[in-house]
Amino acid sequence: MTEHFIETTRFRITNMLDERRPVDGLLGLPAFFTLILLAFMVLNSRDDSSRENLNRLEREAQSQLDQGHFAAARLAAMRLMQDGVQNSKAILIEAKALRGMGRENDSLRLLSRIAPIDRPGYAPAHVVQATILLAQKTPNVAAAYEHINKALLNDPSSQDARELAARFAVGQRRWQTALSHLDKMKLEKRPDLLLMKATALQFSGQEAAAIQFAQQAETALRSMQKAATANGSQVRFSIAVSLSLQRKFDEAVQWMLSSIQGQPTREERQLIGGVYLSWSRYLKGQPTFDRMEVLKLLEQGIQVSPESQDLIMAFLGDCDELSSADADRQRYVERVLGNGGIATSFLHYYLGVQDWKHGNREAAKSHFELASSLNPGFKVISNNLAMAIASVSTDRAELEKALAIINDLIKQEPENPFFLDTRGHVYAKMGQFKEAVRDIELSLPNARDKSSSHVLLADLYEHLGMADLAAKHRSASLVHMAATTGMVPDDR
Amino acid sequence: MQNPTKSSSLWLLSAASLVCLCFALQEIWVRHPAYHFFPLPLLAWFWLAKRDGLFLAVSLPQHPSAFNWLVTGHLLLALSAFILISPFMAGLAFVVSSAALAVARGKPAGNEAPAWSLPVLSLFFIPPPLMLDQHLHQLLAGLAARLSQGWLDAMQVLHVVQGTIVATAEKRFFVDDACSGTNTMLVAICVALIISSFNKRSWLHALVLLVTAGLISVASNVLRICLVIGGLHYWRLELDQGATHEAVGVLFFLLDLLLVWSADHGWHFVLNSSYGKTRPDRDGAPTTPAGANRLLGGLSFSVAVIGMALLLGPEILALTRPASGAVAPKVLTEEDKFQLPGELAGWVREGDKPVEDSMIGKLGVRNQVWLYRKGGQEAFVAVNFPFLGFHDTRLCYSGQGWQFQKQVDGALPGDTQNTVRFLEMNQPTELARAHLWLSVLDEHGTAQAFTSEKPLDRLSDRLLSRWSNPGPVPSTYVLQIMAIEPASDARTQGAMTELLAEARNHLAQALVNHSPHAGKESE
Repeated sequence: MTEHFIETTRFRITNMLDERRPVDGLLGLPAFFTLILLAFMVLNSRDDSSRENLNRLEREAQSQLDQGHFAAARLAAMRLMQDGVQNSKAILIEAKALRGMGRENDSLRLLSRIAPIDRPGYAPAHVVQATILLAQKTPNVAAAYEHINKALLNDPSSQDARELAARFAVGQRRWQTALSHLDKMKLEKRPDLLLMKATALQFSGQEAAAIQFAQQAETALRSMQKAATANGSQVRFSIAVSLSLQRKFDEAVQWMLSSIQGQPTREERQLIGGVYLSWSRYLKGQPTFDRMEVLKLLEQGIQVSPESQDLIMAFLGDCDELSSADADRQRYVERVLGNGGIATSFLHYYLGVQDWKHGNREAAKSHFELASSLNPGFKVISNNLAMAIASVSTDRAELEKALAIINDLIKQEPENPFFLDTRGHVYAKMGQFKEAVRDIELSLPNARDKSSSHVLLADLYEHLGMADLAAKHRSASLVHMAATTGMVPDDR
Repeated sequence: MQNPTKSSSLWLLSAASLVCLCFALQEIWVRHPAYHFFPLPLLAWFWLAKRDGLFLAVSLPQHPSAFNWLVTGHLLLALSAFILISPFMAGLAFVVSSAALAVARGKPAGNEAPAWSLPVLSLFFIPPPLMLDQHLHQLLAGLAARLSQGWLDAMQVLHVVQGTIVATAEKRFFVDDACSGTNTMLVAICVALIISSFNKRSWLHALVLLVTAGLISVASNVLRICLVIGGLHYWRLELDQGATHEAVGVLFFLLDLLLVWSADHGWHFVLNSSYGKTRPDRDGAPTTPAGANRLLGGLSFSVAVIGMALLLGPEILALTRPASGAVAPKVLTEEDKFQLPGELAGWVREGDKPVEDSMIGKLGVRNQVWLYRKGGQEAFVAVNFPFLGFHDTRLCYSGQGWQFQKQVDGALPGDTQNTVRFLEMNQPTELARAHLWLSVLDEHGTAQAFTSEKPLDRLSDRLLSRWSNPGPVPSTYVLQIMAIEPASDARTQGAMTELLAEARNHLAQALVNHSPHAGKESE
């Protein structure tokens, strides 16, 4: 039976082959191979969601991100999500890549899927969102704060979240909060955080602890400096800051000067100026100090960093407190600030303030105008110019210009009492009494010279026909009557 | 010599078929470039029919009863096609008439094409209904992109496939109709069919060869995608555009044809089956009564006249109307640039130049996208042009992996029809949710109405609008507003609507100013 079947089959196959032309078979081979190729394509196209493949993709995504190849990192992250289940890590990498590509909004949108602002989500995603929000042109501080809190709620041990929370608190000068976060972090290998802690401790009045942490930071930084790295300048600057925090100001200055190669850069000059400023402040904080020594330090700082406005303002403040004669003081200021550059604007500012004090308001206005033209962005100078115009000018166009200047300042700092006070004066001069009253009332609680403010308010209410309020403010002015006899521009 | 009575009977019988064929082919011509190969099957059809004497067989059908039934069915289908203005049914009617021809001829002789040849060739003249062809394009494009994934991985090209887009670090490659194999696959299948017909293969051989041709086309197109992407990745060769792209396409198409020819030989070796090896005896074939033929011929002629009247009526009517459209408007072409203003309904444009890399779909030849902001809201505004006729933008989005959750057609104040389409959609790969507003304008800046999605409404629209508003297919411009991760409150929606209205007014004005015809009207 079987033999018969085999025989029949063999006969049929032989017969079939006899009927066929071998050339057809040969010509059909390319198509046959193409079909095999397609079968391979289909088999190959299946998603490989094995753990090994996912790990490989994750490594690749991270590696591309680390190398700054953001487009490739994004693709690898997207593949990771495509090949596996939705993966928070992949989303995080993709979001970071999008940020690297300058697509912050898309990055935020993506991250909000795994870390929405209204509930705790994936902690690292909250941290990245907070970082993006803080780095925006107009930082969204409130939302960033929310994200930091949510990150810490979700994962209190998250070092990234703690670090960001600490940095956020330092930015807002909430030193205790910063310390509470830094206390929960491992700082051994992080000299930047050690420095931050030293700073927070110093501002919290814990001098000894601040010096101790600054020492630790210095040790860590010096060991880092031995290994030459791309961010060598940062390490060098941080060493100077750590020395400054240890009160080794002279050493800090010498360290910077000795490590500068060629002409100092603007950043290096500013850092040295900052050390001198800290040094002068430290001296002033001592129970007894020599003001001339402080001024000398500030002068040295200005010589190194003549564009440092904080230094100059500190210098002018201290000059103001000198007991020497006005002419001597003026000569001294002219000598220190008379070397051209931005310092000249402060010289005019100083001369303007002096003229104002002596009742020479037209001259003061001219000096403020010069100072403002040399240093247009400096708020104190702009404020004083607006006040001087309001004081001496009756020209409507000039008053409008003063109003524009002060409006610009208030736009930047809507609650600044000095700016509000100045605008009140400008409005009063322009005859817009209601607006003037509104601004002066707003500035009154924080006004430096409350008596003058009450007097001005009394006059304004009188113009508005509100005699009761005018009388009330006149009484109040008597209560606050102090030594002030005239309006003095702010020299803050 | 042919008998004149038989000849006139033949022409009468084929009248309705010819009108059906013309109707279907006209639709195929305007439908999609992928169908522009139809002269090939048409030529093969007529060649075979003439060579094998099928037209003559009509006067003496081998199977009169089946022939009569098929002709009756064909006439009914043709009548329905003309009344319902359905090119699909017209194509179907032509297939039935081809089947009637095959039945009339009976079993083919040894040197004649197989009986299935004409009906199967005529399948290429059916315009697919319900946008099935568009869905097929998407399916093929998605399949080609998906299949290329494994090869690109093997080539170590980092990429991700999103619908019909293959994104690499260098570029996003849109797998369009040409790359997806839509164009070449149909031609390859048609060639496979013609080869089978001329080589007198069996229906099994033809079927297997058709499937093989389709698969070969898919494989070669996947290789083509890999070559284009790999060319850019490894050798910086831009094979995805211009003449080189076309050249690569032609080369792969020729390869397709060679492989189809190879497959025919291969399957012939495997199946070894040819059709009809003995000449049948036709002498004893039954004859149809002359009266029945005359009746069918008369009916066919009547149906053809009705069809001509219904199809050409609106066009003839249009000629009797005042020649308002005599001057062809100058349309914005892909070389033109269009600029939206810096502010639209309180929305402020970001930057002066269009956004390069946005999530908004790349449609049309020119795709210009701007980003607008208002308060905390963000919206992309895109103008895409030119399109020939009304363009269904949803296909472009679904091709890029978007999924639709909701669709509402509405109108802006002052509109009398639904000229705005609102879509809620999401993109799983990008984890994005978006709202999209669409409006389509013609070259005169007139907003076009979106046709209803309900089949009955669409049918009535089609039947009536042909008579009330006939005319050439206009060039259209698509305006899109897209909001990513949008808020759903009324205020946001209102702001978006205002942006759409203002942008549309601006675009309409630009089109009016650009059109010399419209300009004359305003003088």
